[in-house]
Amino acid sequence: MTKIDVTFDSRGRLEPHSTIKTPVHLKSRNYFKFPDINFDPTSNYKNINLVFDIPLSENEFVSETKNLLKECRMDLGVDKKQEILAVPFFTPRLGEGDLGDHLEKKLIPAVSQSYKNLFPEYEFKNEFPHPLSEHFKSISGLGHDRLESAVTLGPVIGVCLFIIREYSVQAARDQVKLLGEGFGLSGAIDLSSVLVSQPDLLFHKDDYPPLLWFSGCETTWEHANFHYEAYGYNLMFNRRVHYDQVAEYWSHGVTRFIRL
Amino acid sequence: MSATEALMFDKSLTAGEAKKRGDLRNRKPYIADKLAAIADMEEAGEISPIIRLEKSYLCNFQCTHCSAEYYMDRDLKKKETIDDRPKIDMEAIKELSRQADELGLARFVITGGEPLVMRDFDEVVAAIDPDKHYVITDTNGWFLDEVRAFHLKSIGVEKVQMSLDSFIEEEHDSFRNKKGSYQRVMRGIDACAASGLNLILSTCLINGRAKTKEFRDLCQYCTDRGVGLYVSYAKPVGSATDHPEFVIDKEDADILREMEKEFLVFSHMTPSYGSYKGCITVKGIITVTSTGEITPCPYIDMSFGNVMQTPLKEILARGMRNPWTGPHRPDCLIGEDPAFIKLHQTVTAKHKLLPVPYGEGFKDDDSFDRIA
Repeated sequence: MTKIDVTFDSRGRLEPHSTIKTPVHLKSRNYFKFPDINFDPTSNYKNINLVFDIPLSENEFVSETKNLLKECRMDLGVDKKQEILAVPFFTPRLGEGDLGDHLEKKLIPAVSQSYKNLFPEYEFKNEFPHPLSEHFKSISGLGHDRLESAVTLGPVIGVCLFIIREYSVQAARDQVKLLGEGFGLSGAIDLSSVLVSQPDLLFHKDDYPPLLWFSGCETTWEHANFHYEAYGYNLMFNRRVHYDQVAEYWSHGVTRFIRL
Repeated sequence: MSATEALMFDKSLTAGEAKKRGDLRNRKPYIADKLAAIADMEEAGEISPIIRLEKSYLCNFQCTHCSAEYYMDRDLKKKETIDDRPKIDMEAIKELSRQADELGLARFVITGGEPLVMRDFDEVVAAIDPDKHYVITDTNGWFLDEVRAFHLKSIGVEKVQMSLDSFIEEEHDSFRNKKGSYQRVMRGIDACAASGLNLILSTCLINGRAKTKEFRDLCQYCTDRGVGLYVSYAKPVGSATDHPEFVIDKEDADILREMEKEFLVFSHMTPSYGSYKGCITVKGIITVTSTGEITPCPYIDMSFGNVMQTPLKEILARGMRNPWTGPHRPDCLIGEDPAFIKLHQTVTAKHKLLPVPYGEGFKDDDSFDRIA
């Protein structure tokens, strides 16, 4: 169960809790839209399998991620009719080491490979081709720190819910703290893993999809945080300022995972 | 590597761009320093908009898609309206230049109307101060022969942005309602090359044009000549208010994004050396109208304040606080967002004199609920 009662709008956006005072839009017109993606762990498994060695059968992955989603919906008190965007993912054991290193050397290349697998005619571009080593860390107590610890020891599977939209990064952090320890705020590890599993998450021909912030992480660069976003039919890893403000374009993931 | 160095935008400049910047540094080191500082400013969360200055709306053309049509005397006459609002003069421009310099802003575009018909054009350049700011002029090209190009260069203008709305002569002349204008643009391109003025061509993208052979041919021509092609999405404002069919859809914008990989073509949404500004309203551009009102882009006729009454810094801050214009969006607000287009048309239709003053269009407590 969450610590608080939560409510969703008709398009599956978690409405900000009344105690949140950091910049957030109280209502959304849902102008920036994810593509229509059904929860389809079978298809996700195939994408993952092209990039990572996954030590689970397809059936096990499907069953475990369905259970995770069911738990999340129950704990959030989500009505059966309420649609929320959820993507299953797998992260291999990353081992000891620095988060920025893992991102630069393992996770971003994996996202690139998965995007190329699905869209050979388009590009994944790392728009920040500088060393990331020692520049990233998980924020303590927001969940991504637990995920980082877990993948040091072994692989995980999880489900990421894209329910926090039109929140500043700080407001997303405030909101996730209210959800309780069963939920974590997404960052470098889970968002990269999600894009391996669902490379078309930000591929939208008719509407502009939102940007995905690494809100569960912080960096040594005072004014910038990092994100994935689309540029037309292409996908980018980049950084941006003004994450302390709210924009219709911002979105954040909420994750639940289990160790394998 | 320091954090700031690491965050600097990708500076792998093309050889041509590096040469241009080197030349500017030799001639105008103060401006070169300011331009070089823009990346650091942006990384620190500050903004560095280009200032478009519309001192006069006088024009020798009457284009199908003119965003300034409702500011022109000929339109006010039709509406039997007299514009008795105070106008910016040279002193106001000098003060604007001073405030902009203080904020680290470095670029002015003289626009209109047609700047090259302004009798006081040289005086405006001087008031902006071409040793403190990088001065660009828009033009339809009609009066840009070689003599004029050399003169512009001699008074401190660095760059010309010239309109070419079709690579097919008859289509361009028809869209611009001016026979012979295509040939004048071609002459202007040669004049810029001869005089050493930097040049970009600008073209209006209407719905479906991105898929045409004509557009591809124009992109190829510009790439072959080494001239950047700036693509402006058609907006349903000014004389194009009654042309909603001009408005592009996402497919048009995405086709253009793909063409950027192949040609020297870009829009205001195109990343520049690693900086993805998205919609540049306030962050990348502002317009100062002849009455000193500051609008967030050339096509939005709603003001964030009057520079003759409110400090520029505060006006920019209003823009960054506003949910429509700040801090970031990846699409063109007035060219692609149907709800904002509707809001804009509803609000501006109530006003004979544009832009709509701050508080009546954009406002402090703005929200999306106004049109939701």
